[in-house]
Parts: sequence; C-alpha cells; structure tokens
Amino acid sequence: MSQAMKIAAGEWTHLLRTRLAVLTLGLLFALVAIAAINSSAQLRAEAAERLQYQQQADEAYRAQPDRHPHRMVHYGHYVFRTPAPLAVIDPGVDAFTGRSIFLEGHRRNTAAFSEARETSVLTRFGSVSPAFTLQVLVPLLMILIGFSSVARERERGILLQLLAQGTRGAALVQGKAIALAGVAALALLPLFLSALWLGPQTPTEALPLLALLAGHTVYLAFWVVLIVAVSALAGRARTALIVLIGIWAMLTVLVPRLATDVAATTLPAPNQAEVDIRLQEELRSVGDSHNINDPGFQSFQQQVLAQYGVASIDELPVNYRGLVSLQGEAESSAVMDRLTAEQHSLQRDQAGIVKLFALLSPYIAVRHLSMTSAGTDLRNHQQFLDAAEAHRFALIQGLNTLHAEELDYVDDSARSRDAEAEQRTRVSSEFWTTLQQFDFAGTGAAERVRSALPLLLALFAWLSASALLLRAGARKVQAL
Amino acid sequence: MRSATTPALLVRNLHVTRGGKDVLNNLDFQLAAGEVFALLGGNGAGKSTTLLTCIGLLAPSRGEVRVLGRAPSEEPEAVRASLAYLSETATLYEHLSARENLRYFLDLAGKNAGNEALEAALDTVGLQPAARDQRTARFSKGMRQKVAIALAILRETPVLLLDEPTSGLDPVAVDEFNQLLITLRNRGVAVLMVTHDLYGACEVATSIGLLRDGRLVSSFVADTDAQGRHRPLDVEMVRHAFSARTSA
Repeated sequence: MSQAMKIAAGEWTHLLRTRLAVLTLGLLFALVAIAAINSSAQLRAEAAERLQYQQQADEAYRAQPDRHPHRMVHYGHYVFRTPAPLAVIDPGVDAFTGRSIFLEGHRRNTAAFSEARETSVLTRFGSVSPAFTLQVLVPLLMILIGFSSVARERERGILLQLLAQGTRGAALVQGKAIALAGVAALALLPLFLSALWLGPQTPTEALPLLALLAGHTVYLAFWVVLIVAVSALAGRARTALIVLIGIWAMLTVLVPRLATDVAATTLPAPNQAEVDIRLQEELRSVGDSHNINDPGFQSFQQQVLAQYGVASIDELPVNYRGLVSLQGEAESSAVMDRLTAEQHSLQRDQAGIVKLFALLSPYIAVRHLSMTSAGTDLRNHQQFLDAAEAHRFALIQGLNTLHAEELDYVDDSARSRDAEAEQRTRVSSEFWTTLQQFDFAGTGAAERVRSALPLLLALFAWLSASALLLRAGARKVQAL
Repeated sequence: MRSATTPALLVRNLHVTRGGKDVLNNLDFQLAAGEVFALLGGNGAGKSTTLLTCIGLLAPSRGEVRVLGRAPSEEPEAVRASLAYLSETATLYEHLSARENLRYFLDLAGKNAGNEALEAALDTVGLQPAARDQRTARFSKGMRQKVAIALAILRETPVLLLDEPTSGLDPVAVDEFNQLLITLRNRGVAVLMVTHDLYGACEVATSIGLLRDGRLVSSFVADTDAQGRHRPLDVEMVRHAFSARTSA
C-alpha cells in the first residue's frame, strides 16, 4: 500500500472514531439518500397525477355534447407536461415553471401550477432534490468533515513528527484528499444507485445520465481537492474553516446571485404588464375575428371573394365566419409567436450570460450541466411551451376549419336570434373524439450531452485549478 | 558511503538564515554512536533550528550537516529513515491507542514489527500493559514520550533527536526518562537533545554545549572510566562555566 493510501486509511479511522465526524457523515448520507428517495417518490406521484389529469381533461373534452365549433374553441383544453426521466435527480426549472397549460382560442397561455407556487417555503425545503443536495449541501458538510484534515496535524505537532520520519508532504495531502474523496463517494452513492435503477428503465437516457454523474463527480472532486489544499495552506484549522465557508458562500450563493443580477441588468426583460400591453396593442391591429365586418379583415374579405370568384360572402361555398376565425387565429398566433420568440430569445441570452459565470463559480457550471443533461433546463421548458402552442394552434384551427366547412353561413349568422338555426350550427360530438394526443419529447439525449460538454470542461478547469492549489499546499506542508 | 569512522551526526560550520536573520552561526559539533550531546541555551538561541536542519526541514545557508554521512538537504528520505525525532509535546494520534499509534507510524515508515517486538519495546520504555490499548487522548506527557521512544526503538534508528524532552515532566517521570536515555545510549544510539534541564543533561549526556545567538559558546565532554563508561558531568562546574559565559 502506498504512503498516501496508508494516510487515507488513517484519516478514515480518525473520522470513524470522532463523534462529530460520524454524525456529519451520517447526516450527509441520510440527506442525499432521503433527497433521492423523496424525489423519486414525488416524481412518480407527479407523473401519475399528470397522466390522470391529462386523461380527465381528454375525457372531458371528448365528452362535450354537439356544439358550435367556436364554443369548443373557447371551451379549450388542458395539456400536462410529463416529467423528464432524469428530473428525479434534477427537477431544474420544472419546480418553478408550470406543469400544465390551458389551450384556448385567441390566447397563448403560459404554463401554470408550478410546485414553487403551490408549496410553502417549509415544504419546499423538505423536498430538496438530489442535485441541490449534492451541489450545495454536500460541499458544506464536506468542509465540516475535512477543513482540519491537514491543519490539525500541523497544530498538534504531528505534521513535524510525520515529516521527520520520512512522510512526504505530497503523500500526506494526497492521502487526506483520498480520504475525503471517500466521503464524496459516500455522498455520490445514492446518485450512482439511482443511475443503476434508472439506466435499464430509460436506455435512451444513458448518455445524459453519464454526463450528469461525471459532472457531479468532477464537481465534488473539486471540493475535495480545494478543502484539503486550504487545510494544508492555512496555518490553523480555524482559519481553514473560515476561509472554506467564505469560499462556499461566494461560489454557491454570491456569484450565482451576481450572475442573475448582471444578466438582468445587461439584458433587462420587460415585466409581465409591459408584455401584456404590447401584446394587446399588436393584437388590436389584427382585428376581432368574432366580427366579420371588423376593418382589420376588409382586405381579407376582398382576397377571399377574388379567390372564389364571387361577388359577396353569401355566395361563398364555405362559411365566411369560419374563414375569418381561421385567418384571425393565424394572424393573432403569428403576433403571439413573434413576441414569445423574442421573450424566449431574451431569456436564453440571459441564461447564456449566467452560464459565462461558470468561469467564476463551479456551482453554476454543475447546476447548468445537471439541468441540461436532465432535460429540465430553460431551453426544454421553452420547447414545451412551443410544442404546447403548436398543439393549441392545430386544435383551434381544426375547430375553425369545422366552422368554415361544416356550418352554413346563413345559419351561423342567424343563430343568435333563431333557435332552429342555432341547432343546425351544432356539429356532432363525434368530432371531439378525434382530439390528438399531446406528446412532448423534449431535447434529444445526444443534443443535451453536447450542450453539457462545455460545462463539463469548465468543471475540469476548476478541478485543475484546485489541484494546483493542492500542490502549493503540499509544498507548504513539506516546508512546514 | 558510511565507514566505521563516519560520525552518526556531523554539524560543521553550519549557518542557517531564517527571515533574513542569522539563526545559526558557524555551529560545529559531532556525535558518534552511543553518545548523547545535550545542547543547552535560552529561548531563540537556535536549538530547535539545529534539530530541524538535521532533519532536513530547514536548509543550511552555509556549512554542512551529515547524518551517517548523508546530507539531509540532498537525501532527505534516506536521512529521515535513519533518525527518530521526538517533539517537545511528544504528540500522538489521540484517537488511537498506544499500540495502534506504534503500528500506524511504523507502517508509514515502511517498517514491520511483530507483536512480540512491539510488546518488548513497550516493556523497555516501561509503559504499563493496562495502558497499551487505551486511547492516548488521556495520556500524560511522560506516557506519550514512552510511546514515542518505543517507536524509535522499533524503527531501530541509529540517531535520535529530542526537543525539550523533560519539560513539563514530574521528577519521577524525568528520572524514568533519563534512565531510558541511558539504556538507548548503551545500545549505541546517538542522541542529540536540546534542553533547558541542566541537571538531566549532566546525568545522561556524554557532552554538553551552550548555544547563544546561534553560536556554540562553550562545551564540555564527560570523562570515561576504565571500562569506557561515561561519568556524569559535574553540574556545578558546568553551571559555573555557563554563567560566566552568559554574563561575559
């Protein structure tokens, strides 16, 4: 056994015989294990719940009686997002964004019913994810376990004793790092077990799962090396503890906060009221599709008449009201799509600025790597919104097509004052049973891994930097 | 290469500078196997610096140090394998028992010692059997020193460096320690001891030196009897000479 391994074994004996260290180790393992079990149970329940709600919504839609298609446009429909398989490890932005969207005519609603809005602060703390635990809490507990690994030997005079009998400074710090790596491995164990459980169930997620494991392993390796390096460089254990807590607070709290502030200041986003006002202003130019005489549709009417070669809308072979609904929806959707695309682009650019701060904080690197690999990042959420919008547009235009093709224009115009005409403008409920299933796949596994790679490289850069610090620590130990 | 005449420890024209200040200035002495050299001096005289330089943890700015013919600055690992160092506090791992401490330190030094050898070493230093499996957290300094000396015995190092070994010990423990040192001396171990304890030094040392401002200002060598055994140095004579040197 090498000298470093002997020192690592000695350090583990010390940890196992020190009450505080055993308590912290137990706490660390329990925290990660509970987070993994809790997250898994929660996600399973949530997936089942969403599936149930989706089925209920689908059944409710299909069970509608014979109706005017435009009534169905306003009746609307719900779609629910099924959690990504790796959300069990990192729910990412899912906890803060909504998980369902109400689809209706003329409006592009955003997702609603997020976990963060539905739960209190206390229950939210109780449901911390494995990723959050590994990224924020585990480094803190590792600091408590490892801050004195080298410094206490210096303080007690054992360091001199060890060096005097030929123990090399490099072997000493390596041994301490190996021992602390064992602590990190203990914290990572539930994640690796989850991977073994998840892997066979979702073979397509194998690569992102590997990226996720690699990212967290390199991230905790960075902390291992940093903690031992600071312990070796600090004259006293207390100094090492203060410095390490300061670094932890800076990397996991201050820099991420600074990153979001810089992103928000550099690329300021309009607030919801401003977005709504702008949307209403632009939609006003489209016109009201409920009113076929709205000036906004005058030129459209001319086009339709010319297209069909008729002099008036009464002569059209299709229901002009339905055509206006189709056109109005297309135009208003184009406006909403454009504004949403702008908003999404701005959000992605802001996220890009935040990601640049991975050069100042490995926590930002691992956090984005984790969310990207798990398919729970902002981009995936935006893709969900876009997919839901595409589904909404197809659904509404399907109903508008029914309106145009299945309903008589005269009856449709008279239905508010003629009960018989109103009956004739109801289409068969059989049409509602053709409702398309909403399926959202999210970003592909290979694409997610490709996006995560630069972040993994950033983490390796952090690990290399801490290794240089450890080398300096070994030199200081050797020189006393 | 070590020959029969190679001193166990040779310090020649040694200069050590720390923080721009000369801590050791032209220090000269040498030790053969079975000799105990006690280096006395006040705080800041350079006693601990001498020990650290012998271990190779401080580099000479001039002059040389040789342990069994090897320079610590050039062959630190070989030199450290041949010496044992006992710090003033005789620190051990408090979460380990006496036996576990010995096994751990021996393992790190790459030495294997069987249980019999281990018990024999603990018998030699006089650590009570009941204490051997107890964690050392509650050991007195005297008990810790016994374990540390047992380690040196087990490592079979020909050179032993001691830093203020008797400070803080009660008179009985001092006596036990001195007897132990005489045992080691008689086994042929060369001992360099820095100390404030003039009485103890006179009892066990084969030579004594007074260090002041990094210089060896005075030294005495103990006489030997017809059998070649060292006689204890005369405390009063040494004290008188040192007082004269100190006030000079």
